Amino acid sequence: MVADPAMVTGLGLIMVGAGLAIGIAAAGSGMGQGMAAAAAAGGVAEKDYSFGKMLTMVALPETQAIYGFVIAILIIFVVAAGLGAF
Amino acid sequence: MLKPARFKKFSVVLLQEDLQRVLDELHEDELLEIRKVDLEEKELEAFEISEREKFASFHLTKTKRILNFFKAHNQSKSIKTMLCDFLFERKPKREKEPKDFSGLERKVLSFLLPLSEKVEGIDRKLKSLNERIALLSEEKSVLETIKGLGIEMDLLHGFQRIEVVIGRIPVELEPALRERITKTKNARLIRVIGEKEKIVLFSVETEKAEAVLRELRKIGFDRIAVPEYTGKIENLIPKIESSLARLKQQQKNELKKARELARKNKARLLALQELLEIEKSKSHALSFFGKTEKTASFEAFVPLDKVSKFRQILAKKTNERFYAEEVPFTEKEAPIKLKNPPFVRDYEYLLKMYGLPEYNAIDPTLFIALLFPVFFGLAFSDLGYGLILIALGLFLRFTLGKKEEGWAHLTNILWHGGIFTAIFGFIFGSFFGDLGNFAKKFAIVNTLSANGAKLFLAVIVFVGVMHLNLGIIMGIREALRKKEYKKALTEKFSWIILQVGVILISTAMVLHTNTESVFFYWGVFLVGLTLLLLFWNGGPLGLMKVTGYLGNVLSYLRLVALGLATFAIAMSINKLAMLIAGIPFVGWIIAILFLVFGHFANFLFNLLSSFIHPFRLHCVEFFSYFYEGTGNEFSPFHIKRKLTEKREVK
Repeated sequence: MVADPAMVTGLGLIMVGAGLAIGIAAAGSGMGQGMAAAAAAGGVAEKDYSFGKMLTMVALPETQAIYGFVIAILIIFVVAAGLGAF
Repeated sequence: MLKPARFKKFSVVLLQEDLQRVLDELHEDELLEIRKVDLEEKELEAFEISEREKFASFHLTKTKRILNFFKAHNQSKSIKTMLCDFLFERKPKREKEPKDFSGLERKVLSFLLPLSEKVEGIDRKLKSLNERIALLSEEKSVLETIKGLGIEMDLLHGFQRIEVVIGRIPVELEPALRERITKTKNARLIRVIGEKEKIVLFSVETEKAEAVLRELRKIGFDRIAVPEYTGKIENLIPKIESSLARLKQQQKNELKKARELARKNKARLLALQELLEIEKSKSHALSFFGKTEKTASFEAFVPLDKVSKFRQILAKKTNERFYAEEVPFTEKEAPIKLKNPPFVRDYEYLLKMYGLPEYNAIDPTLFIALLFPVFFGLAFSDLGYGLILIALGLFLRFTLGKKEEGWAHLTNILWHGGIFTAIFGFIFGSFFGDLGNFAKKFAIVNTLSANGAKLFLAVIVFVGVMHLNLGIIMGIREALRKKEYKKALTEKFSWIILQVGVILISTAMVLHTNTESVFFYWGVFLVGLTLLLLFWNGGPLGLMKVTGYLGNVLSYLRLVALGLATFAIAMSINKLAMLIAGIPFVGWIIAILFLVFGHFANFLFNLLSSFIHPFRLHCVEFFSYFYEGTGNEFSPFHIKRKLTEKREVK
């Protein structure tokens, strides 16, 4: 376990970084998905058989959140673990 | 199983006198999809809209109107009854179909028309009663508002030179109103009452009334339309109340009659509706047919396994007087009917949400059936939630699923997913999160440790690559089928080459510390070859597909995210519950309630996302390599009987 105060601060900052990585990515992804979903809802209301394809459109902006998630996981489990956090 | 059902297209000619018998028999099973005959090409005439179709359409509308009336005046049910109706099937008593069309006509004349008259009578009375009740209620409300003015109703009407006006105005605007009325010649403010809002009574010259009221409206005055009664308001209100009570009693009686009518006739009416729908469907089919003076001609797609039955019916009902010729058809015009074993059939529902395959394309339902529950389980991954899901899925399967086929498929998907949810929950040591630390004792992989998380990520990436490879292999097969060889090589096979290249480079990295190995050079060569193939396929933009492919692989990591989210939220609920339990006296009770509601909410949220995300992985990532989903569903010449049964005609 980490005992050095500087290391503790460093680890704290690493965790904040991980939080920002997923937080900002998810916010951007959410905004994009919101716009796409609003348009898709209109489309499905008109042509209900297009549900599957509309879902695809809505799902596209989500990938960025996954990137953010991967970076956060890597920060936590690779960088932080490398510094002896676990 | 991997292809939609095969069809044959027939062009059939038969005598018009046999036509009705043939249609009656063909309509009883999902035997064929009728297509419009090209009248010009075959030099045929079109059938006019038949009297039978007109009759069925007209009376079907009448039937639906009565059913809507019954529905609108239905007695409110208790929650228990509604739940029972929703969950359990009540097998209706089936009505025998009339022998022939004249039997149907008689049924309509003797049952539907008298019922329709009764319903229309009650409907008219109810409408008139509703109008009168609304009017009297409005008048009562006005009288109650102006009651405080203490004026007799006779004084409000009937003057030639002056008009008496009553209206309302917000309290803060009253001074302005007073000023205007005072300034108006021959106008007189008689009385103002009220606290929340002011009710104003004033008189004005009839000639000027309109102009004055227009002015007053601008400052917020709202005139009240006073009903033309005579006498004291205090005496009028009880009279109106007693009239209202009488009308409401009449309304109640009419509603009772409507409910009684519905109770006695609804089942029979629903059966008649089914008969009329069947009749309409059969007679409407003629609009797709062509005719000569004595013959009728139609074209139809018949599933391969129904061809012999189709021919038998034609032979039997026409006494062998028919001509059926098999005709060629294009892939685009063929209907699509999925053909899968029962376990796989449940997942056709998911495929239909995206779109059906083309006639000669691969039907991917089998792969969805094999992998969707696994992905669902990975995304949910909790032993406790999994067991609930299995129980819930099976319960709904044998209640709701018995009622409707759609529910049967959906509930099967639920409990299949539940099995994998429980399995992965066991592997990752999650039982309602970390409740009682129960599952951690048996956990095989701890996802919240560095090694466990990395292993989980690696496994999911591997699963993703394999899933995509399956899509790529099918994509190659599809491209070869369409003779698009360049596409097969540059757009599909190139990803396999890239993977082999990356594996060789990785092997070289693992086995040799230096990069001068055969593996490494072959790996670099294959990666370079992939880039060349992609460039050949789409120019510089073709190279961008590498990031697209990488994105597709990483997209599978959402399953890890969802799995961790289920666990993390459940763990938070448990920890909060433990804190709540510390409250003196009532802590444990609140904590248990919090646990139940918290886990219920977590279960619902994750149920939804564990369904949506695996579905998306199939639609967006997997299908993008091989599937178009542009097929048109087989639309059989058939209406499934639920309330009636066919009378066998010898």
